[in-house]
Amino acid sequence: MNTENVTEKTIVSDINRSVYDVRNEDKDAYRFAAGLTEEIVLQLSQEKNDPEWMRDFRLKSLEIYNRTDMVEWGPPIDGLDMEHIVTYVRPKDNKMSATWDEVPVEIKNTFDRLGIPQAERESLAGVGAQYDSELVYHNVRKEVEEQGVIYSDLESALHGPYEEMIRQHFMKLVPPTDHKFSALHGAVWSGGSFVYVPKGVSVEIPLQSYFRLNAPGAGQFEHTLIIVEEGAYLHFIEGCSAPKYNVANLHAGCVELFVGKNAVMRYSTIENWSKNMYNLNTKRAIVAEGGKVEWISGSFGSHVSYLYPMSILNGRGAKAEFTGVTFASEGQDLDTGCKMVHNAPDTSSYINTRSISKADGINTFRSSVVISRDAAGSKSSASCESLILDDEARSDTIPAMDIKCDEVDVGHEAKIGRISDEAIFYLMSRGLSEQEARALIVSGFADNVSKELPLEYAVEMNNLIRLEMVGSIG
Amino acid sequence: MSDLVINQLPGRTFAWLGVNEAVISGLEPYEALHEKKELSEEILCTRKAKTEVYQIPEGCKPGKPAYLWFAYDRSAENIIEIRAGRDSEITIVMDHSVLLQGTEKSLEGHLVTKISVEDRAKVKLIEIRKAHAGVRFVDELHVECGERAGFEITQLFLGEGVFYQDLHCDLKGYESTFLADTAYLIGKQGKLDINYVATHYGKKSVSDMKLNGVLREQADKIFRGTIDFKHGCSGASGTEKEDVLLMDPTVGNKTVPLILCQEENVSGTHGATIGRLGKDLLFYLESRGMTKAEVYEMMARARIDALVKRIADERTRSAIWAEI
Repeated sequence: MNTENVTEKTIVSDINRSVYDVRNEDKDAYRFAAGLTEEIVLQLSQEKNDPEWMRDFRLKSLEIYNRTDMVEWGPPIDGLDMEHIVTYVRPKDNKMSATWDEVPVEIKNTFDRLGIPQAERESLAGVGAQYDSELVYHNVRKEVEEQGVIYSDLESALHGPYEEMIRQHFMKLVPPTDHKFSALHGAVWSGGSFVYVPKGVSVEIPLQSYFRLNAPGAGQFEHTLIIVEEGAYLHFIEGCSAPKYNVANLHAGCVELFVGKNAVMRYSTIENWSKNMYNLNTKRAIVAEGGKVEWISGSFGSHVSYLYPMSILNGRGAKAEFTGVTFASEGQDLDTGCKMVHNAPDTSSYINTRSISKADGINTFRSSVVISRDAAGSKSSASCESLILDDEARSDTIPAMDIKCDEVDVGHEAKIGRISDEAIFYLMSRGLSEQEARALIVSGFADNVSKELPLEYAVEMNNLIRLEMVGSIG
Repeated sequence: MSDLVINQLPGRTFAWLGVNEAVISGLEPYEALHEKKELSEEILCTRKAKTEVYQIPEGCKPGKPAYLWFAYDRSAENIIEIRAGRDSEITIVMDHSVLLQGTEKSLEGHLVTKISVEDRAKVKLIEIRKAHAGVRFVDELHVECGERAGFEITQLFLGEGVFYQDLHCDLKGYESTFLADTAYLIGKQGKLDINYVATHYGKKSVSDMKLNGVLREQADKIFRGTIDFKHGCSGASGTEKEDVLLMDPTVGNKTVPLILCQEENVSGTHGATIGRLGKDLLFYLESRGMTKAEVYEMMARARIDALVKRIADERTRSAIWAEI
């Protein structure tokens, strides 16, 4: 028997990539024509029964999209042609449900395989599940609801008592003028979640949204809007996956977090899009006095990623942390990082990232730390480490610091290198194969993220790392 | 006359940061031309020169520095090419501090230097830049190092002028080295815009950039430092470190330290510390009877002194101390 196969079997016995690659035929789904025109935007607005202001917002965003240039930095996205992207796909028999039994069988089976209903039962306060352009399931535990927490799909919320609140917050943090794909999002957003946590309420167990893009050649444009009021606490988990196709898929979602005075918001993401996905996602948080936002990010999937969650520290003593790991392997060009903006005195930010590159995978860590004139007493610390596993991979580190105030303490450290031969030799002398030793070292290298995640997500992340490590020798 | 685009970041980033390049109005790139001379230990002067090529013969090790004094009485442009032959060793001092002497006029200096360090040769370049407000100085420096060749640069920027420094060092040879030791003290509306790029092609090539600086009043500074490991530079290592002391709430500092890596077997690190003095240090010195302002003045001065002390040439050291 081939020893390589034995090793592979040993390492990946508890995970099977086919879980993510299961695809359902979407022949009965309702799809818009590919491309992006005013007619398509109006058709979507009608489909969603938008209020008038939202329809106007979509049209304005389209106008901005049409006149905005692509960015002049970052990975190439030549393979993405909006003329071939379908902006809206509604699954067959779709009707948003509050019980898994009512979800169409094919879709329910997909989420069953991904373990979402089980996770909901065991460790979540609420779950939203989006399939292509529509939410198919949304539920929140009764006791959480009784605390006054709102966890709903955004479109329903738009037609209820929270319309005015949504209007006041929707795309105010990430305006359509921010960049071309935020304008695209403003024009064709669909699905996503609205969360409101009232003053002083602590949601002890996390909420989760899971995004699944099944249709080939489609885009997913969900919008997540979370408002955490003064003194409240919320942990929100986001997961995403898609089966692999030979055509480009696009994810241009948007996350806006409003963190109130002395509130804490933790936003965790395990991103495992298929490797034909262009992941051009925008995430942003604004934090009031004494508040804190924590971003936990694991990026494993996508063909191309542009992802830099931004934290705007707007109140005295506000804090932000970004902890991330990115694993780029064959055919992937992942440009990830974060942005920190210190706009108030005594604010602090902490960045801790790891990136791993193998085969012809390209990893770019990109960040910016901006400290304004009004942010005296602010502190920022960044540490980023990169590991290159072979001589075909590439890893770049592009941080920038813009400091406009003298009463600050800013530090930045970065390291790039490979796994040391001594470490591998030591582990092999303890009975591990070379591949096992490498997988173990890489898992340890990424523990900055895994130790911040709930146990079951940390296990999933480590499994993804082990899966990526198969065949990494030679 | 068109604009000159220099100090381009080898890996572009968010446009709104304004760090991807510097655009200088009213300057154009030079065309090459040659007038050969031998550079030895004697003092050479260039004044409103066009292009000069200095040759350091193979194996030549003068032992004493060669001096290039740049004395301007009006705006001037220079192209200098230095070829250090195999196994040669030389220290060159380029001093532009005379820009300050005897005039308060607005001046523009533009220097393009190309240095070729052939196999096993060593070139040490000491550059002193001091300019008053109204002086704009643009320096483009391109260096290429052969096998086991070494290029070492010490740069000192002082004053309230506007400085642009674009430095590219291509480490082409096996075990070639690039060391940069830089200090700056910029005040008033002075501006310093630096771009250092060390490109590693050769196996086991080494780069090390150290910057120590002080910004005061409305001074503005950008440091872009790039370590670029190209495919095949196995065993290479690069480090960059910047330490910036901010003296006033009106200063502006941008630091952009890049590591680009296409090779597995390399080691690259960068670090930056920006801000005020540590509380413990401040407390200690204040407990010794110094005021806070005196402590800051002393620490600012110490950063410059530390670099000056590392300059091996006594004459240059004396000249700098006399200036500051």
